[in-house]
Amino acid sequence: MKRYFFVGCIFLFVVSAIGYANGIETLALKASKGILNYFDSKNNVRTSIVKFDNFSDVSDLTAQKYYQLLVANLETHPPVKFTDLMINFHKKRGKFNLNRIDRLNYLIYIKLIKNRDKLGTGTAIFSRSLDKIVYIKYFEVDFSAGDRDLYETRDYGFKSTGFSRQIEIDADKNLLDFKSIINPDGTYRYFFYYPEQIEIFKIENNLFKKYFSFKLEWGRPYYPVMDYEGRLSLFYFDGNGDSRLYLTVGGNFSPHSKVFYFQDNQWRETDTIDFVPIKLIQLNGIDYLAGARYDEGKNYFKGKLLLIPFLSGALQQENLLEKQVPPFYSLDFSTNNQHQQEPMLETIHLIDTDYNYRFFAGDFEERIVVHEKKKHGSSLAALDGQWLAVSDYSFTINNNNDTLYFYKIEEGSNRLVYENRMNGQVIFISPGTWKSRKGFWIYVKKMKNEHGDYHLQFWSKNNDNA
Amino acid sequence: MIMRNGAKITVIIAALVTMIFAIKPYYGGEVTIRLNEPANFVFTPSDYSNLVFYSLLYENFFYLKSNGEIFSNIFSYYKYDKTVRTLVLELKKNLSFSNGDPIEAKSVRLSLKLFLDMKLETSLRLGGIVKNIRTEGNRIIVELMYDNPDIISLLTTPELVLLSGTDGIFSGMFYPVEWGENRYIKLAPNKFYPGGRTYLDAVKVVFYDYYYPDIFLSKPGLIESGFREFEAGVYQNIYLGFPHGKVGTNTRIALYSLLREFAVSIEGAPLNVLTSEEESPVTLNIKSFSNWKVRSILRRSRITLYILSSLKEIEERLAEFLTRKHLRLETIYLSDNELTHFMNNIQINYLLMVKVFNKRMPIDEKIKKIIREMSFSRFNETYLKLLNELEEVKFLKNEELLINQVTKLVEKIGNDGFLLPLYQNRYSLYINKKVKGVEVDYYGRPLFQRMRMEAETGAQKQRVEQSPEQNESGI
Repeated sequence: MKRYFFVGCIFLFVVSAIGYANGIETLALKASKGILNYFDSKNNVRTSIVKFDNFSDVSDLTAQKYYQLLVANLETHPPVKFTDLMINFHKKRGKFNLNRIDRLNYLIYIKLIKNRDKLGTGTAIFSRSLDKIVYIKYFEVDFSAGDRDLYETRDYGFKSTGFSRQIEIDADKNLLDFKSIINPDGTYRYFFYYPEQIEIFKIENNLFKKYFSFKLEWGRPYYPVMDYEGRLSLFYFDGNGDSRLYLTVGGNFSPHSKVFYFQDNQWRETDTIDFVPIKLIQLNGIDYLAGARYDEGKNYFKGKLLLIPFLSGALQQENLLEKQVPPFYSLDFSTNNQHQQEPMLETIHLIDTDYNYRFFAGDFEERIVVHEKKKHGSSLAALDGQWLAVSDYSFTINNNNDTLYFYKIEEGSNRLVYENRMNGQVIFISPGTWKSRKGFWIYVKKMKNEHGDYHLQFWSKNNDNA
Repeated sequence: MIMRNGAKITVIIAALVTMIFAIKPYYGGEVTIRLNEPANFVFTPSDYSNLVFYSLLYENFFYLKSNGEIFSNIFSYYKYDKTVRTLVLELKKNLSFSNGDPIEAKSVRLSLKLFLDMKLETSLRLGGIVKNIRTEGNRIIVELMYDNPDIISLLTTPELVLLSGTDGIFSGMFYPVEWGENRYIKLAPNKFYPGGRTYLDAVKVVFYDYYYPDIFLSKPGLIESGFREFEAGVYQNIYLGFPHGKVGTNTRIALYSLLREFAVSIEGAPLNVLTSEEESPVTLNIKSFSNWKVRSILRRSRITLYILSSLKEIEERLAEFLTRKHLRLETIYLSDNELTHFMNNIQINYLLMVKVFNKRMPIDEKIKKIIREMSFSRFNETYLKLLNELEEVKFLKNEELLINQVTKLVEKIGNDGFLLPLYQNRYSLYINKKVKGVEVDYYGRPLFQRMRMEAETGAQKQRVEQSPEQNESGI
């Protein structure tokens, strides 16, 4: 009898889960369709939601999920240039970055209300050129108390609109970093960094094909390690009239990192640096190769950022800059090269050795960020100043499943938007592209046997293109 | 039912707690290990405690895990070619000793030669096979006299370690930085360690009753909450030997009777066989003399008892015991290295020795070890003949004949009377549950390569920083 009761409970759970997901998604779909229909005949639409209030009895979390779905639907319609300006949602009210409001010609107001058992949304569009409200519409869907309770217990990303896995390829153990780059001729190259070699792949017939590889010779002092760690950076740099592709590699096993450039179909080693470069960034109009030093043989970086001016393709080692940060497992510089050519530093994101997420502004001053959940992941990466992906070690009995969190970091925001449970342990995250799509490459270990299987996955939003 | 659910929840919570921070191994922390104090840092693995201690300072050529897997942190490649009876060992690139000096093929050759010169059963066995050792670049080529596919297994012996040839330079996980005599030795991680930088920032080896070390050896079955017990897989026998042989039977038995009584007083398990009770086919019934007779014999004898320094822990208690008995014995403690030197120059009549045996080692191997390593001047043609016969019988793969041959050898040793078994120590290794990653190898020796402390949370760290004294005391 007990057994039947249990099965019945599961059945009810599944039915209501499906019903609810449809309900809230339908509401977002209805509202976004209405907005997009209004914009259909308009040209040069630059719009954002600038006001979002929740007058219903659903929680902040539910309201935020509704907002995510709505935004995701609006972002998928290229003729409409929609910018997500929400910084935070707290106490039933959205907080928006209104500094960029001058760039918009339509402002959208959204509110959520409760109409008996139904959840409704009111949408209004304000035209800045006409200085009046040009569109008002109301939609509603069934929304029972059971649905609401269920939603409060669910915590997931919306696959159709959020980040999802696009491809997965096999990788070897000890892959230290992975980067992709678009060549000037529009072709893509993919760089696998192993401790003793670099492998370069291209895509042919939708498959990775090895294109080139070269060995890395590390001299003394050499620190054997139990856990290999390393970073690869890749960038084009215009110097002396031509654009050269540079590649840097370093790791926790050597105090010296290598700098290569590509010329005459050859990779030439040009320099060594005594820290591990992470990214080429621009500060006050000057290009810097920025990075840090690993604690010898250990799996974390020492608490200091190091920056060497990179002028006309030459490293000015004598002008090394140092900036204090806590010792960290993972760090990424968020640059605004989404809109401009030069990768100007905006923010710095890191996970310290106590697994705390830390956030620094472009002036290297720490900003206090309170995330609603304590996380224990050790990897993060920033994508063009827009998205930040952070891994979390999951507290499950079969501890092989991590969670990925995607934060919107554009315009000073730091808002958790999507989360996805994944099969495997995240070892590192790297921003990149797959074909024409931008997203995150994630190196994952799956514990199928004693030693584990290693894979490289690409995660992106379905509506984001390079 | 409620209890069962509660227990399940407890298990789940415990499992979850141990999983926190598992994604990145934690680097840091100090582990305290209680062992016997070594005489010096020169590799002399005379007993189990020493073997454990030196495994922290010196790297083995090969390791043999309890599941039979063989691995090496020094060699990137090794292959035995039976057609040319040659073993090729290829060094990993860029390896260094603790001071940054490169590890070269000649260091491996030197270490192998030093091992072959040791008077150990395994080195004698290997010495009987190896014809020549030469180097070619970063390769070491070991030529054998005859085909032996087990050559790699022989190289997994814990006594075969990589030596630099210079004192104070180490190849192992740690190197000593501070020695408080009779109290502790502090070890720092070797950043060039071929097996990869250890997770710990320090290891403190203590020699006193530190309450409680993170790792210690003790008798099996000690119930300590917060500790896991590992069976060491070895036992350690203490023998009274008469290397020179010119000692009268009465004096032998009197000294034996006295030391047996001492063994009982320190809770050593009396030993009546050459190896262990559960495997030995023969029991040696040596009748002890009465207290009166012991005193009357030993009072008139001038006895100098040489004791291997690995037994130094008994020094105080033995002195007290002799005072209580109103007897005077001159005792001299000496290391393994010194023993060889003394044997060549001085007549040693009485010697207290320790031998460690792996439980898995077959009894015939143990007997061979006893004869080769403890018969000294008594090793003669008769023993050689008996050992050769043992080899032949082993080849026949007949268990009954083998045990019979073992019995003959035990009988011969018993009749010759140059070695009398005194007592046996059995060990369990106790490891604090906060210490992770310790494995026990095939030889019953703990492998510390992946040893690490459970990560501390920020709050825990803060507490430690606020009260260093409380942390130091370990209470």
